[in-house]
Amino acid sequence: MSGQDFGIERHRDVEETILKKQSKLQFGAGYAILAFIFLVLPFLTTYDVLVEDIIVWSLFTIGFNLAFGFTGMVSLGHGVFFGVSAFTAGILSLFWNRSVVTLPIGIALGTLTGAVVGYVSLKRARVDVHKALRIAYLVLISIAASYVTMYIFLNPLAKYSGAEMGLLGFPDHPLHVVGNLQVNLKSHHQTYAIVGVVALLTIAWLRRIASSPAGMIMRAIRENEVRVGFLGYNTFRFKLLVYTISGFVASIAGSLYLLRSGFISVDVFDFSFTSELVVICLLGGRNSFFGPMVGTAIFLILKDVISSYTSSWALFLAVVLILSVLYLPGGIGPMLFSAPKVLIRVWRRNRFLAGEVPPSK
Amino acid sequence: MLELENLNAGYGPSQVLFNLSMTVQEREIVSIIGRNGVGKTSTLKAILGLIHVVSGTIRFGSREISRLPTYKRGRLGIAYVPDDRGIFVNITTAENLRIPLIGHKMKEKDHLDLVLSLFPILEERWNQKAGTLSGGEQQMLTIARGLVVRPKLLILDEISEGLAPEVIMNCCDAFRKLKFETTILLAEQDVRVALEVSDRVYVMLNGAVAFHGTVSQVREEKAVEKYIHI
Repeated sequence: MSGQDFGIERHRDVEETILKKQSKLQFGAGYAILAFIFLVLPFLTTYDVLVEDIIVWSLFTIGFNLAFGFTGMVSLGHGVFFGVSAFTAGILSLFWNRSVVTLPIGIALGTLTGAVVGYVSLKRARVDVHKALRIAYLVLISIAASYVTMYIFLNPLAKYSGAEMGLLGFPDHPLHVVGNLQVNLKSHHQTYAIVGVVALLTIAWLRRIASSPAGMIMRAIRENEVRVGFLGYNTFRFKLLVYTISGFVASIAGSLYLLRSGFISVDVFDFSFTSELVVICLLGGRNSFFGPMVGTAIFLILKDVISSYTSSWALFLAVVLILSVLYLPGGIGPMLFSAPKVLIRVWRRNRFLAGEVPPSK
Repeated sequence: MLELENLNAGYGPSQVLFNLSMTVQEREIVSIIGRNGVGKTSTLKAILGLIHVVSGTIRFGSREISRLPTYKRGRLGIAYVPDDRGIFVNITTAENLRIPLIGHKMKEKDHLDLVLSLFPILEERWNQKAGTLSGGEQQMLTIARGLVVRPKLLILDEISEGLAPEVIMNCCDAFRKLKFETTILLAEQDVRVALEVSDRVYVMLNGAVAFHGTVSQVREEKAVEKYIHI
């Protein structure tokens, strides 16, 4: 009886405290670990290239997952935004102005491409269209976009983009910042410092979006878009916004990729490039924010290790993917993140069974 | 408050509503009853903008809404509880109830207290994923989600479908309590439930209104026997 009366406040109180505790803990520990990985780790290990690859790709996949995992929009066009941004920045800095201004211009153009592709494909896929068709529209139009941009960069722009050869010569000269300040593109440390800081800030920003009420609406749209419309939300505008943000992040990743590796080729426009992102998100866990980062790490490490023995590394990766889909449908990431909690629980229970401490509530 | 006038509507080329007229006054519980396939759900869908209106008007308050997109109708204060429930199964009860509240100015607690006093069971399921709730609880959650924003008009579709009689009675009680808060339009197959809770009833036949009147009129005229149990 008293439990029933009492239940109402109690349940909600419990929820509030859990949320608070979690967010504080996550905020402290999570960001410390993240900052360490992004800013310190590459300078400590001899596998610095691999670690940095993982970081740039994590940014890309986490941004992609905002559209794919959180909102349920399957798009194969993110390589386009990645490539447009990288090519624009690279071409402008080679043929127009060797300064860092070209990077934001590239990002802006990539984002704009994202907004246009998103608008065209989402506009047709209004809620009265069947869900499977809505997804198909987005997939097909994004594939179309990937071919359009690929041939634009292959043919009319061949003089600038280097066509099949890819963009060459980008790192030969330093990039101007202000006055005499320059970024030496051949200096690994200088370029990485920019990459690490920008990637970390962007991911923190995305995390904020994902854990805000907007993140809740994203997941609700994934579950049932029509109902979200009943609740008074313009789901078209919302989806377009998420898609554009995700294209923006892809563009940032593109520019950072160019800055770091100094090279970009038209291969990124191929939609099979973006389909790797889908694999990574599924592998790492598409419902969890940092899942794709775990997926990226596994993907790139496996690729790195196995490809030194055999060229058919994709075969092994496929086996890992199949196993993870069969036995860990939520992805590997969430399991990894909950491991500390489970271990602590087991340790507490064992201590209790050994009679060392009274049971904690 | 809600006025449908000579409404013709349908799915693509096939028309399902023929010259339908209907009014709902403020603080009234109105039911639409009829056999399967007479256009009860289609009427509700037309009000929400989910099917194509060919001609006729839908007025809500003083506004003509038949050309507005669904989400704008939602913002005007029309809430819809669909027959297939459509809760968001992978997020918790709490989040299901909070999503409609994002952006509303009133305090979250006041809103939640109202629906939780109607459906106390939801409190116990507060942090559970909504997909793990029982059928009746999911139905309550759907109603609660519609109510939590204090809509001006609550539209319910087949609430009795698949629910235990006891749960249905709970819902009926809840509606009577709600009468002082909001207006309710209910499409119902179960005639007993409809007559139990409503003030007025519309009986539909073949996409048009065959009879309408108060509950006692329906009983006097034997409208149910005439138009439903044929």
